[in-house]
Amino acid sequence: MNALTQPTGAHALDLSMPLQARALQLRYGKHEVLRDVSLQLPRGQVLGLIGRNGAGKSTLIGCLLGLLQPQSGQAMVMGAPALDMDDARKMRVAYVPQQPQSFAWMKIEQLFAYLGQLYPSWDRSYADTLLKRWELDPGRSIAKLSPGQAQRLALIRALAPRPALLVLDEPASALDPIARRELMRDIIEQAIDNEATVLFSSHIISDLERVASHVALLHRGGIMLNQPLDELKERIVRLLLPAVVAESLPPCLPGELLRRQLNDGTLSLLIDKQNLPGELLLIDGLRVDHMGLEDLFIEIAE
Amino acid sequence: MNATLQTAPAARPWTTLRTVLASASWTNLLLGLGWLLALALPLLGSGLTKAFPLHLALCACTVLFWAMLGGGRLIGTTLLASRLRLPNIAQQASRQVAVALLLGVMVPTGLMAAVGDTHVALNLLVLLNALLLGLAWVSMPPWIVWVLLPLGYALDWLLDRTDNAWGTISNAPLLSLTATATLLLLAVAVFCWGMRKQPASTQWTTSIAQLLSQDRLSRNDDTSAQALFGEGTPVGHELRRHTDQALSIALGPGFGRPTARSWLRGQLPILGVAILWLLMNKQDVASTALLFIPLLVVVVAFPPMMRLHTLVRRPAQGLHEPALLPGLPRRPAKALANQLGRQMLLRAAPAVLVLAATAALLGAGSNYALVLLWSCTSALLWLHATSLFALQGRLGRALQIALMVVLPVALVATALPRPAPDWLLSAWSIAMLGGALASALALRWLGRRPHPWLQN
Repeated sequence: MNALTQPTGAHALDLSMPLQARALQLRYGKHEVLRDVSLQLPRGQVLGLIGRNGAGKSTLIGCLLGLLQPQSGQAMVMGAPALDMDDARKMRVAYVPQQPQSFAWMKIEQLFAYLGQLYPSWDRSYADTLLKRWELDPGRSIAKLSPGQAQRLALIRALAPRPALLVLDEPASALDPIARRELMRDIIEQAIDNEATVLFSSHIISDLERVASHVALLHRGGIMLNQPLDELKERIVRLLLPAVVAESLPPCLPGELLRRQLNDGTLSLLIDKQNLPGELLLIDGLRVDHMGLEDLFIEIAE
Repeated sequence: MNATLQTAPAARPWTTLRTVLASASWTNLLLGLGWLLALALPLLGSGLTKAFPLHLALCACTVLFWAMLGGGRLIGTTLLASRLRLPNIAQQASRQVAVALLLGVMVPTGLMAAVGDTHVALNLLVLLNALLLGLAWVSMPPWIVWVLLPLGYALDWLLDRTDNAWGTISNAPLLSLTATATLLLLAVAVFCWGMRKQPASTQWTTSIAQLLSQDRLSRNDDTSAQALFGEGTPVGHELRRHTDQALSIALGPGFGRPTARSWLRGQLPILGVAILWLLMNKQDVASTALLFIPLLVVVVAFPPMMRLHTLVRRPAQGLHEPALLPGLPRRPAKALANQLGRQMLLRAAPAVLVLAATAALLGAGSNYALVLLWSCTSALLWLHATSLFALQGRLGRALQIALMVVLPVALVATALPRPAPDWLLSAWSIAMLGGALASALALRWLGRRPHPWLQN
């Protein structure tokens, strides 16, 4: 029986919430990689996942797509468990790994002929356009592509089936600045044209700021922030409090994200402005810094 | 000048030892076994009076394997380090050589001497030869085996036709023969590395050591992959109806349906070896050939297992593909087990036929072909089962490694040129039954997991 025409099973296809994770926990031996990670990615959202190297971004993506089995918690793709995706969902999901090495024994045209048979929505003309734009010869052997070319190819193959959910793990890491801009443009186009949902991980903040509608910060295995980008930049501020005041503060203020004592005794507080206690603003010597995303990332991840 | 640049950091004690041991990985166990045999067999009174005693032969074998893996990795790493222009490479390499000599040659020689083996010089040279043979082997590209085999036979044939050549060689003192071999092996290894002026760019010229260091063995861009998926490889048609075929392509080299030409190319080495054996049809060649025929059959079936192993060890090479591609079989565990079995059979069956016919022409006993069929089927069933178990967990992988050690011994030990005893077939039948049961258990276990392509 044709697997593509089979019924989708017990779980109804929920396109309004392409990706969802509840309390994901995953550890390798004693090393806890994901700690109680919950995430929701509604339709049309472009979520940039940032975090330091080794923060668990690829692991989280692996769990979200059912490539890794968490010890507890569950990831759902379009309403069904990620570990048990059916073809109706797989057809709508595209994934670009960090270092694409699949199908190295094929030529590009062979790969597209193969994938074209598996994805009913494979857009051949779009694939050809992208190949031409990124100067990839269809007759070229995939094994002989440079890392940047291999990443471009992986992106083309992810975009060509016109996916409803596009998951990209550090998609721009091997690309030159021009190709990175083009990629970001294509992601936005894809998201707007098809109402596609996009999750991409990166530590290139400028890329993220260019396209993401929302940002989630993964730090030490947990999601520290998950907010619309504009809101994040608007609302999260850094307060620098003189050392004399620092000692009199309660251990945790409402909306507080991070507290750090600087070398000169000054207290650095990362806080959500909306929850900021009014009396704090009256303190003598207080400094309020509005932060860019990069500063915010460094402040938290350092 | 920066002070940190002026002084090289002092080598930490045990660092070199740890590096050598880490490079040799699981073959350290073999080396330990070699030490144990070097000590225990003479104590048990085994062959101290013989010119080439058993404990020395076995110990040399363990040193050989140890040198092949550890030496290959160390040479590869040293090459990589020199390409990266890291400092102190020569000192580090010489320290590693010293440690390797100590562990692989001096210690076992010392152990043998301690239990009364007085042939210290011979033991030393034989073990040094084993070490050098391992290093020489990994200094050459893998394809050289196909050149060395006929060359060896040609040399044998030539010596046969030269008056008293063998007599002269066999009458030479063992010590000088071994010393000559040492120099020869050293020359081969030095020649291989000395001739290499440019970093190798293709597998054709890449040594095994470099492949080990770059982890390119069994990767999907290697020559075996090219043999299977060469120019104009069909990617199939109507794949939405032929989901098994779609899966086999997603799994890659070793699983994909080869073209007739590439399938024939895969069988050529077996045909070549068979023809060579028949051309060299002599008593000693025939008995050696009969011993190794079952092993050859099993080795031919390796590519799909190796591909699966590579995918599990290096998921980035495409383990996510069968997990995320639509249009693949609904029951992936069963489909994978079937594909693996089918591909192993597809490769082994012609080899069994060719080599059974060769064995008959070489004068094998009446039931050799039956034992061959039974033993190979059992071996393939067990390999099938452990390959599935090895998809997850250390236990499965340990089981697979154990089988890789036990199987060759069992296959060679039971491939008797003379008529085999009746119990042998019964024993292999039980092994076959066990293998079938293990395969069924592996499939059942795999079916319980969400899907077989999990990366953890």
